[in-house]
Amino acid sequence: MTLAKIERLDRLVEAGAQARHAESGSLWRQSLRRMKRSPMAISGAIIVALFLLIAILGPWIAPYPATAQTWGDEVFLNRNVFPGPRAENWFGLDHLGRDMFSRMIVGARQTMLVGVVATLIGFAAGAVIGGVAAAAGTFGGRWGERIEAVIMRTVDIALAIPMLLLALSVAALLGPSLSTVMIAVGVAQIPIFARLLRGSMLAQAHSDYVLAAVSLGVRKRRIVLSHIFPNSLGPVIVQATLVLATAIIEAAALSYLGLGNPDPGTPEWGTMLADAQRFLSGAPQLAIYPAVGIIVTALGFTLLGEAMRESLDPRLRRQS
Amino acid sequence: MALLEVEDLRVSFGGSTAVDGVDFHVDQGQVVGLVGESGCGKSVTSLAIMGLLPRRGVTVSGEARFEGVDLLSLPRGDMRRRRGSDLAMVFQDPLSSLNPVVKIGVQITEVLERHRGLRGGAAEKEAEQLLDRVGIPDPRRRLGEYPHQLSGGMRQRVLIAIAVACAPRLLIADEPTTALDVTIQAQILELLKDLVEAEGTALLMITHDLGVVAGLCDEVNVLYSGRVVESAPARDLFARPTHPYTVGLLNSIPRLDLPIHEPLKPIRGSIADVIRWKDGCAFAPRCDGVAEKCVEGEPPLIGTAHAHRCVMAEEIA
Repeated sequence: MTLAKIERLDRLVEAGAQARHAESGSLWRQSLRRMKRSPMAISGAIIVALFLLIAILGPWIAPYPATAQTWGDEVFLNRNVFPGPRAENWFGLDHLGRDMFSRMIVGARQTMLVGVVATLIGFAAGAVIGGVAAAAGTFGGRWGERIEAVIMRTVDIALAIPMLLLALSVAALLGPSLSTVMIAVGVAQIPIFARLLRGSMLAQAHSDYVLAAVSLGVRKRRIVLSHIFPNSLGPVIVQATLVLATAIIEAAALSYLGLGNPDPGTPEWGTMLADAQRFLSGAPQLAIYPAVGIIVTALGFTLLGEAMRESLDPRLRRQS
Repeated sequence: MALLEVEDLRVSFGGSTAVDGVDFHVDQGQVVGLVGESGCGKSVTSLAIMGLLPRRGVTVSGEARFEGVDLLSLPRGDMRRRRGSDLAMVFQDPLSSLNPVVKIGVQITEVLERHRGLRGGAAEKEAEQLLDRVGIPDPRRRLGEYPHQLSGGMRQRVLIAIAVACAPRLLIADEPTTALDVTIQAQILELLKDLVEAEGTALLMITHDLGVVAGLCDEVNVLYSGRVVESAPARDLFARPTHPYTVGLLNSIPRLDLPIHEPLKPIRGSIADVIRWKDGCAFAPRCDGVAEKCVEGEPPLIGTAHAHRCVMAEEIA
């Protein structure tokens, strides 16, 4: 046997040992390991991490305060033309002479807040509704099935309403403010979460370990709460990251339509986009910065969510 | 009095009948086998006894008396109290029968809390002893582990530990070794045997493996198409199989002592409800010794200690 052959054998053995090692570890750890190998997951994670960092540190790292008018003594001939990118203002100035770069950085926090809170609202309410429906339908007997039917038909009706329309109606009811946007976008996500969790719980309810638990006389409440529910969360968590992207876009849309935070002191990407509209012909860059910000952030969350979905999918688990 | 008496148990799903009048009994501390091929109704029988069949679209009739109380007509709450404490079950697939996201320890103490009222440290201690009893090394550490960290045989041991946690008087094992490899199978069977002997627990062993039956059971019931066709003490059954189906089953076991190119002897055809038991022998279409009188009405159960359901038994023998 040649030396090269022996070496190759050694490598094979080592790879085998590593693969066996990779097989161990919890479900989450395995998924994490798979995600580390996916370029989609890595780019998504980098974008999201960057965004979160900016959102948290925003006011401290911005070169100027978000509300300071920084144009000093400059005089402009045309009211629709503002200074573009330059050394002291990387992204230029907006129509009130505020530093665009600082506003983008500070605005990230509002954008993140809206996305996260809206997703949490949708997740929590959807989980309760879907969970109750699934539990009632599976273990509630004849009455439970009726309760489930009523809940799920209501959810179906809510699903039939276009999401933006639903969010708009909620926002119109509550009046323009930041919390309005959060609630409106969150409420619009409830039916999706409810459906998803219910489906996932129903699938788990027919699994062997639930039958085994029933055969041991474990109480229904315990079976639902500590057996079915934790096993059903996977797909819902993945959906949450995907919804986060949608929520950010929708929050921007609502802000753009004038239902967002009316306070000009707190910059927000959607509102900035709406403000820039008036100056599109003279200063299109004012619209481009927030638009690109929204797109890239949404892309980051979507990439991360998709990668998570794939790495948690049991059908793909064996292949890596 | 028998511990469990099943009488004329019938289960049908919509139009199709899965169990068509099964009778058998299990005595205190006895190991009884329920044997048959896939689809003969053996698992459905066990699920019916445990009350685990879905309520919708399933009709169950007959009686399953446990210590004189008919389990089938018991209110749901009473049945739930009995499950796990009076009678427990071990399932076929040890991986999917354990909750993947709950620690082993919690899955054991859950039953101890429910039926024996043990809490906290006491429950944990008991769980540790249980794992030790089913032969799991380092039980303390295993309590904190998840099912996927255990091997298949280990998982089945855990399931058995959970099933015997509350010292049930009847343990139903539904093909407990099918998903395991042969060496582990033997260990698990040995463990089951030791446990029921030590505790005086009755064991209803559901299997398609005649080898398991021969090594473990006192009494054997052979099921065909939802009905018991032969019922006898294990020794007797293997020495003098009477029903042609039992004979066919025994003949179809591959044997190492036969010449290499000797073909296997399967029972021809496959299970199909062409003939219902009330019209004649359901095995008739696959039987070599079939005659006119096989399909003239319901074949009666002949004999007592070694009973069978073949009207042609004497002619064939």
